[in-house]
Amino acid sequence: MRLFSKLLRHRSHYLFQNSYQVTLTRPRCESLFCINSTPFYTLAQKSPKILNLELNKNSIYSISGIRYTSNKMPPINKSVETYVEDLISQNKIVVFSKTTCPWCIKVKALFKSLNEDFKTVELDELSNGDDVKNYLIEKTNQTTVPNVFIKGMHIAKHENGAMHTQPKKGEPVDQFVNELIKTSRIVIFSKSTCPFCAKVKDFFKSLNETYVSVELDQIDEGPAIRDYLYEKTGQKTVPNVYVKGVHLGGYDNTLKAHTEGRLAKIFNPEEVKDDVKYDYDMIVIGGGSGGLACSKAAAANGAKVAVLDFVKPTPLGTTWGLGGTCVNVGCIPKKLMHQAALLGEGLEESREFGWQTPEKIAHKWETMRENIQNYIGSLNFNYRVQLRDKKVDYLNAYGQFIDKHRLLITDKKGKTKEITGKNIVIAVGGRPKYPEDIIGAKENSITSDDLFSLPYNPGKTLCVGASYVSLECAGFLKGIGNDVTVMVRSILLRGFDQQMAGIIGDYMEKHGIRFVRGSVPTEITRIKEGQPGEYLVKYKNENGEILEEVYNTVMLAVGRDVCTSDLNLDKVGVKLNPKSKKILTTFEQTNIDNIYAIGDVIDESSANGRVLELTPVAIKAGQLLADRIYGKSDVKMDYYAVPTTVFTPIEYGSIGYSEEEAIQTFGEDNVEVYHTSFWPLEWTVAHKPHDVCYAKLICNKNDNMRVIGLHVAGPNAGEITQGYAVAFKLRATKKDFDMTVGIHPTNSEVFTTLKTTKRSGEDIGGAGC
Amino acid sequence: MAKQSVFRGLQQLRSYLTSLEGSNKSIFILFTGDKNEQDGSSWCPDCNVADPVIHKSLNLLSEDSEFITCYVGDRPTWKNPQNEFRMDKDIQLKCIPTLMQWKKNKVLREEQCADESLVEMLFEN
Ligand SMILES: Cc1cc2nc3c(=O)[nH]c(=O)nc-3n(C[C@H](O)[C@H](O)[C@H](O)COP(=O)(O)OP(=O)(O)OC[C@H]3O[C@@H](n4cnc5c(N)ncnc54)[C@H](O)[C@@H]3O)c2cc1C
Repeated sequence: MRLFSKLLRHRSHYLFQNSYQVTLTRPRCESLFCINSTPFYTLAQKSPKILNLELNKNSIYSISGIRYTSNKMPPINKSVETYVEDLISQNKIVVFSKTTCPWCIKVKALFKSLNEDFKTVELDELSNGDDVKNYLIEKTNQTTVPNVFIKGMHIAKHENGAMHTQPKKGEPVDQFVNELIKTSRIVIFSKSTCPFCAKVKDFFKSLNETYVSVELDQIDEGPAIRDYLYEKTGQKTVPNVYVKGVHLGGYDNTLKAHTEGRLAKIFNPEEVKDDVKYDYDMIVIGGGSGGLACSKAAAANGAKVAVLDFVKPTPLGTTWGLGGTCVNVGCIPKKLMHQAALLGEGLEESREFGWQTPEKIAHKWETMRENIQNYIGSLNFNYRVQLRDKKVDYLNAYGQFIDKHRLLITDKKGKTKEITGKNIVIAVGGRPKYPEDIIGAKENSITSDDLFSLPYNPGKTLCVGASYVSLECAGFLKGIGNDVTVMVRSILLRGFDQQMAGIIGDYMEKHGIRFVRGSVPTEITRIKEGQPGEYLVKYKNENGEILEEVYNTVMLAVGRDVCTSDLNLDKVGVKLNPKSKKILTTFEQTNIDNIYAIGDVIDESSANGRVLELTPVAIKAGQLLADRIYGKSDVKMDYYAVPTTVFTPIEYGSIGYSEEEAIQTFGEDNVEVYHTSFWPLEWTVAHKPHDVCYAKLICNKNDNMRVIGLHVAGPNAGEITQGYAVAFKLRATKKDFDMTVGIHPTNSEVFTTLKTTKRSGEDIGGAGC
Repeated sequence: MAKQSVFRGLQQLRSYLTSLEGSNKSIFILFTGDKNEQDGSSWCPDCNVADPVIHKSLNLLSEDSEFITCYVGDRPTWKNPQNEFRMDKDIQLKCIPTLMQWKKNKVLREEQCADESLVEMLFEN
């Protein structure tokens, strides 16, 4: 009584008069974890007086609005286990307590003060109290009272202002983690022995903030939680800190968030104001996939937005309209030309299905090109219409930084102007690389930037490089009837699953595409003008011999450089990856607070080196970013398990880990690969090979056979793969795939019936119906 | 300035378009509601708003391009879901006014046709 009356209301905290901070809770705090943590601590360590208090059973104590009644328990006759488990499952809050224990009284007082209904079990009043106590020790590993359960979850022992918690028995770790970070103000995934974990805890204590920690080295679910966090955040290490559901990262990142004021913004989101007037709330540099999506989403959230887009001509002089790489010189024309090739293949096969297709079928490049370019023209136009509709200013000008809010913009005629923006988003993408050690490369070769709008059929073509761009272009050029050679220095499709890369290479080779391996061009000279002309290519093979061959067209596809070099980023101090020159971001924010970046141009820390350079990645990241800046959203881009497809003559779709990556990350023993080859029904009558198409699922044995990689080579791989990406989002296991009913006859159905493990070495030859 | 022509109904339009085939000209078509004879205004209010905006920008069109005004009929004719312009597989008209570059998939619809900068964008292309 005396003690409690010393409790004073002070702001939103309850404080002891002697000014030991208790932080019982903020009254409106949703999180129950941080609620009941502190009183234990403060009373126990800093206020010994309290321990001397005598509190009478069945009496009411009233303290600054807090009321507490201790209630006597009837003896129990159910089995101890059922009794305890029923209590826990039927009551939102259960406090196992002893009437004589001051901490128990405090915790009960706390719940009272929150107007929370709770069930108290006084062990010292129960005839079989010791049995209950023993069962609790067995269940929770905690020998002391109070022993608290909230919504079935054990609230573990306390330590210096903090709570430990862990999943309920059998609770999926993803559910546990997500629920925890949603409901708790501060969550620290930690290891009890880790010095930085201790530091980050001290840091929050110094802010008078309470936190919940999950000590990964002290619970059985530790490794699974660690893996899930890695998947979710791209961070392998502890401490791994969440504040109000926002992922901060480790100790350094947490401190950085604090010094940069981001932490304060997370705690008090409304306190961001600034009065400076800018021309725009947001300027987006680059009107490609990411830039357009971001600018439209920002405008939809009420921001005043400008988007700059300027295409520097290729060495050959090719330029294009608004929309960036994908629309003009990427996904769109390449998929359409791939389609042209597939149709040709279809025409050949059609004879087996009874069509009297003439023996000689010819393809006209000019018709294909014109129709595709017309379609692209309509897309360019529609983007501009959409920007007008959404009230986004489109400026056909090249942007460069003057300072962190000011850009110099230069239009086609060389006219310059300055514009200012509160936030700047860099979405400049990349352009094909011209290797410096090939003499005559710029003058005498083309890249994918020129190919799709080339006015004439490129003729006999050399594709240089093992990138997917090189292989895809080689594929459709061959498909429309051209003589095609691919020259590669070493492996195909670096970064992709190498078994699958092998399947693609073999298939292309069998289809008449020549591969010159272990070789690099050294010099390209024009020997005849024309459309197409003739070019002599000198190249060096593995043995250092210089060989040569004449081609009509040389297309370089040896990778892409991001367009960061002309932005004057050094003037504003935006940090780049020194090697790739990509902009270093964390959740698409650069090291400069008002400058963001999305799309092909970023090296994103949360993605753990896995930002796939893909249009839908740029689009989603751009939209989510705009919603975070201008909407009330805090949803972040999830770079894990982004599906992708390579549109080579045999298409290849994949999601998640490659086999190599999976083995490297989880260990060979922990990875199970299920695989099969399959014979598409439409290939049977067409007499196409029965052992080429291939499917595999990579599973993590340590995580309930979670499917972490899906790979398929075969027709329509893109259409197959997209749907399964949802399964990855839902963290499907092998069993979920097995329980899924297939659609017959399709190729996609192979994933519902995979039985053979790679480890078994069993035959995977063509399966029947 | 572009060559200007006016047609009523699908058949007239189609036969003119056929005559232009292979000419490589840029062809712009405005689909609009019939005008009444008294004051020259259309039963379609959006068309009346768009009309002056479009005509003001006609000077942007190059010499060898074509500008066609095509009247789609009176209100009941247009509102009929079986209207010939709605049913035509190349035109698939959904609303009026519609301003398009023929065979290029560049289309402005309804109030977009009254937005001077959009009309200019289409004509300058
Ligand atoms: C041949 C090829 C095929 C592809 N196929 C696929 C596919 O099938 N599926 C897929 O998902 N992805 C594909 N991609 C990748 C996809 O095109 C890119 O991931 C995507 O376009 C990236 O979008 P972005 O917004 O980052 O940049 P981009 O789309 O490249 O846009 C950047 C824009 O910014 C402009 N710009 C640059 N600097 C400035 C400046 N300083 N001022 C003003 N403007 C500037 C550029 O001119 C460009 O218009 C392909 C790419 C290529 C090359």
